[in-house]
Amino acid sequence: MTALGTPVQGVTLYSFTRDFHARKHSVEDLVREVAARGLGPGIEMVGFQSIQGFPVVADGYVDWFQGLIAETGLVPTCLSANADAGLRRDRMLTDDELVDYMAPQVEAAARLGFPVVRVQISLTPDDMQRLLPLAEKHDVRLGLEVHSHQHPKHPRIQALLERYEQLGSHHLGFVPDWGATLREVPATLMARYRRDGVDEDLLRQLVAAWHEQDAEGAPMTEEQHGRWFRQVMGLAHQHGSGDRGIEMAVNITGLFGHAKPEDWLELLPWAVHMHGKFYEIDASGDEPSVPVERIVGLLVDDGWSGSISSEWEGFHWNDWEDPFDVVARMQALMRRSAEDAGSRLVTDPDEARSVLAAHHRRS
Amino acid sequence: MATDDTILISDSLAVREDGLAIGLKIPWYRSLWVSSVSDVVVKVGGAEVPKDGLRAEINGKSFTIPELGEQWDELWFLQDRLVIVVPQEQPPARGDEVDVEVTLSIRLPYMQIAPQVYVTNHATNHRVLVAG
Repeated sequence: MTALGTPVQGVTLYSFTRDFHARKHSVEDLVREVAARGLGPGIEMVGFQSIQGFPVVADGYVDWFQGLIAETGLVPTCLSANADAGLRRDRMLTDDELVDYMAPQVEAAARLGFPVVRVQISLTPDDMQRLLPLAEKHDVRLGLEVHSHQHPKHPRIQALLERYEQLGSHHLGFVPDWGATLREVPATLMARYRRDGVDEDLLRQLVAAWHEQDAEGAPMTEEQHGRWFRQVMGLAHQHGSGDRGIEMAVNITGLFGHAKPEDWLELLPWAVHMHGKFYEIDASGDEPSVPVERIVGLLVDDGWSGSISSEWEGFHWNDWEDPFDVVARMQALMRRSAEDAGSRLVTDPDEARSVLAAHHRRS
Repeated sequence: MATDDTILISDSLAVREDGLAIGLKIPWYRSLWVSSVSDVVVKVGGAEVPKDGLRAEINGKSFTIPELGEQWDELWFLQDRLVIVVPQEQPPARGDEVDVEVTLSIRLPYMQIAPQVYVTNHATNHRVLVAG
């Protein structure tokens, strides 16, 4: 019998995008607030969000960041990198250029002390293989984010899995994003649309379309996803909200994935880190759209003991709740869920470091 | 788009000797290369400003709008402002109210939907701003 998992609690600064973008907080403010409120010990950053001049990172910045981490007692878990294959206007980056583009980001992660680099779906199995020597050199793990509308059974993810199994390196893996496995359209988004005066009948039809697509199952082809996208655009136009059609289609068909929580099990041996994506916590303390309790239960039962970043994406539309409070409530839900499954979440920094060293096979 | 599409904020507008300077927030959640800016349309007092008169300033450099598309090694940091300079023979005085509308189109270089086609976010803001 597998020992029960003890995942490590943490947060990504992405959850606090709204205040950071508005210059209300600096990165230092956010890191200190995370520590003060006990939202760690794990801490994740998006390189292209938090670090000015990224992917160039000065030695002085590295020293400053490591000093801040030492002082706050937080544990760096993941640096999120971006694979900007469309960087140039005239053409796509070649595979060589894309690999070169990722290199300084991987190096920056290692220098800042992050054991995992989140990379994105623009990277093919060949690209991942070409990046492997770099990951080995810096001893970081590259986790390709499995983000809606992709999902564990999607052919692109299956192709990566197949390559990982061939290569057998623990330096390559996945970062599952829980947004691929929703059970309901977030009520806060509908509340926002309602506040903005969107027609009530359209709101009902958006939710109905999502459930219709849910019954069809997570999309296996781009054609299928395209058809859904056009369906939502059409609804918006029919109801006089054509100007928000793209936004509604991106939200309904792009963010709110249809995979089942059990689908993650196949990827767990390769899950280097996770994005505990969530949208809202209701009055009872549950997440009505992301089945947090079910997912945490599956991880614990399967013996998975990696880091989970609480990733609040509700800020895109929800400007009436405090992001720190929402994250705290989501983490309480995760801790309860782990306890209900007979285990617990790791919240002590020293224990987190030792659990993650074992997870990442670092001595 | 899903994210905060606020590009104009209360202190966006500044007066210069030869015109207006409009500081824009990036309508996305991360820093992007300046080459992601695919178009900028500015209206002042309801009238569109000819594009060839506009300049865009960032990181201490100044570009025409078409030149922005070539700047794929110039980063627009999330907390920085892209300053659009509108030439005017008689700029308003500090404290004056000015009706400003800006549409900024940005192409997201990692969200491809077809060969050479990327998700583009068009953010339009219309505000009456006090010149600073």
